[in-house]
Amino acid sequence: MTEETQAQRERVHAAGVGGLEGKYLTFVLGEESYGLEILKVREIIGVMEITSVPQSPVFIKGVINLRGKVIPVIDLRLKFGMEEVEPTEETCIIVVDIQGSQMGILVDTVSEVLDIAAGQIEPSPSFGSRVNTDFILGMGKSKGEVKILLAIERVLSPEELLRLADMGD
Amino acid sequence: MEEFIDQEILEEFIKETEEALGDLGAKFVALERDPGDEATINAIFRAVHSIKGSSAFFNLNHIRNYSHKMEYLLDELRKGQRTVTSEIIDILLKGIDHLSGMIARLSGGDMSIDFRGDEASHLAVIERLLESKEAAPPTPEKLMATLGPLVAAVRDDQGALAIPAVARLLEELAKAQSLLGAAAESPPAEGGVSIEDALALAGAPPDAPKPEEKHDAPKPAADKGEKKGAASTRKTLRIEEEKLDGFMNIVGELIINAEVFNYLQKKLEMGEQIDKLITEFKNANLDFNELTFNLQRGLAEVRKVSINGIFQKFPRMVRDLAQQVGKQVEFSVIGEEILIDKSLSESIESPLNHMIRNAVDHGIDTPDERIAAGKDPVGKVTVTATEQTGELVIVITDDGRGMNPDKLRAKAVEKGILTPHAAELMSDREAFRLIFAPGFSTAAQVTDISGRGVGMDVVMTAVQEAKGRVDIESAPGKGSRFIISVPLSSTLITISGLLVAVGKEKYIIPMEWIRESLQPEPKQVSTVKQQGEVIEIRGALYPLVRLHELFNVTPRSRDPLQAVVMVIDKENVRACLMVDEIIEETQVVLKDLGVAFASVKGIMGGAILGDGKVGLVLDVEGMLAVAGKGLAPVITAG
Repeated sequence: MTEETQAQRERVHAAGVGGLEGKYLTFVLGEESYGLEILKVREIIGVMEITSVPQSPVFIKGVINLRGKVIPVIDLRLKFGMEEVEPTEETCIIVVDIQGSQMGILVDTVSEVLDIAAGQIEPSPSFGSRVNTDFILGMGKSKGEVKILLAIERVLSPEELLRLADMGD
Repeated sequence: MEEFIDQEILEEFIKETEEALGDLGAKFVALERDPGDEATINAIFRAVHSIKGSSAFFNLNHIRNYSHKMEYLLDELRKGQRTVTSEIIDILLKGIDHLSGMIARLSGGDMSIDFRGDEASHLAVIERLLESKEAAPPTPEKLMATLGPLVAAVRDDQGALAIPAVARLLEELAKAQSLLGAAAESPPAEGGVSIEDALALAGAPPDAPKPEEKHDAPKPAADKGEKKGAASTRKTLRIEEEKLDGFMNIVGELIINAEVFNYLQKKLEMGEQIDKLITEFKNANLDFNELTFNLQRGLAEVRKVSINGIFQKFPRMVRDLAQQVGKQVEFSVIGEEILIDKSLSESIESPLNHMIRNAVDHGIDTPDERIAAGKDPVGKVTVTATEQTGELVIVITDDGRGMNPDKLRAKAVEKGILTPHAAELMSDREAFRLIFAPGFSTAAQVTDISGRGVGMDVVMTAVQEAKGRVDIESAPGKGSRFIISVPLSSTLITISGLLVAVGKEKYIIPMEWIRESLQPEPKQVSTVKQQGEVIEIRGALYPLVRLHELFNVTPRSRDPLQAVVMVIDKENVRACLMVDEIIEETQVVLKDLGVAFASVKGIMGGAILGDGKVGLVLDVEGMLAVAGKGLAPVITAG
């Protein structure tokens, strides 16, 4: 674990935290605020009826019809070990592009698009977050708040989905 | 090579030549079977001729020389100056291999035009063969060349018979007769000619083709047909302009269709009575459905290649292998016109190749064995491809030794793969599948049992990777059938099925699996030891599979008497699937669920339903496998 975290830190520094500056779509899960690189975001849609798929891991809510395409929807709360909540008016599905395929992520609410400069980004902490540090690009500070900048393609990588799917069996 | 060659043109040449050579193997085998088939020999000749021409253009002298010598030999065969024999076919096939090797080197960027050792020595074989003239049976043209002038000379200018000419004519006729007699001993070929024919030809007009003329002008119709066949095996997808024009037409009609909908919308917005618009709306919708259907079908077609791309390689492979192992095999292929997705054709080639090899090597018995068993010494291996709902089904049938399930069971127990008890419980069908178990057997070991098993686990792995399955039927002494089914996945698949409801969820069950549906009566439902709940239908017991349990959803009722059951009875799969209700019969387009659900079994994919929601299409067989039910043999009640 420590090694991984170390590697993570080094990766962030090697890339130069400056490589992470840019626009982020921020959203909220529970008490925490997160950021997604805007280039990975395709669109934001309201929550719609999700068809659950039997025998799939619990954090995969199911599939939806996105204009004729069937795409999976991942409940980020469950993926990050938070408790499940009933959808509200503010619940959104953010559709992201992961290696050419689209996936939806279910979040409590979408906040805004933020410009985060290199100076506002720090490497991910080795503790204090419920999220696996491998999923974190860095911590962005804006208006006195800390946003966890997610490496979404790692959260939703096929290996990650399958690995947990296997555990779910 | 120092001259500049346009890389693109060269690549085109390589591609075309590869395809032409790939096609030739099967053609030579066809020629061997039917040496008199002019269309085949002409097609081969043309192919080699054009390789010669193109390679000369690129200054690829090695390829040019090689194909030139082969062309000579083919020309002699074509003109009937030499008889088609297995030996010659062997030599020509090997020549094709060498040409393929040269093209492969070229494709790898090796521009050297030197022959390899084996290529040079084989070229020498062809050259020696060309030098040795065969006393071939005469062709009509050849006879005519000899006899024509004689016939013309029989009467002199005054119309009187010229006796010396008649004598010479009779002499030539006698020669021709003996040559034709010799030809009659070889298999009857189209090249065989009766004296009458020869004489009729001799009287033919003087502008009839002379024997030394090459018939290079191809028959336009045959040539065209052939090009079309080759085009469907291309590596890159080539789309006929005509097809694209078709799409343009459809798009044009769709635009008009959209206008109609706009018009209808405006009318509605203006407060027009709905009932007045219903007919118009129905018509517009009907048009729209037809257009989308055509568009869908057209696009699916464009993505496909002919399965013949792989099938055409098999006759040659079977021929060579049969020769090598001393078997006589008549090989045939059915369904080569089927079009499948290109990626699928790549993934099934190797397992098919393996299984056909197995059928020839181990399935088919030796001619002696076959005669002793009262069978035709020539064994039959047939490959049949058919398209069934969403699946490509390929059946490899042989009429060889077949497999003995008891011996397979015994072997599995001996190998420690099965306990004696498990072996006893195993059905024959499952026992045949033992040959797919890794390490079950090697060729040497299995020959005494059944003659199967070489690398069969590899076959299984490859088929499973294509998300397919293999089924085996076999009877000792009669032969075996290997049935490979693979989903036609990356193409657009429409599935007709029943939309059913379980609690809040809706599922689509493909129609092909459903024999009937019914509401069980109390007396039909019972519990059988080790079988769990069963439903009795006309004396047979079907395990009851509760879909709500399997998929962990809350049903409207857990009582089978309040539910509907789908009777699944197909091949070896039998079960009753319990659902809340049948909503309707439906046609859906299957959509892959993607990598997130790769580990989910029992679901074929998703489909957009009429209400815009996603329904799941059940993979009945996979689902029953998960349930651990449905694969048991039917138990007869009472």
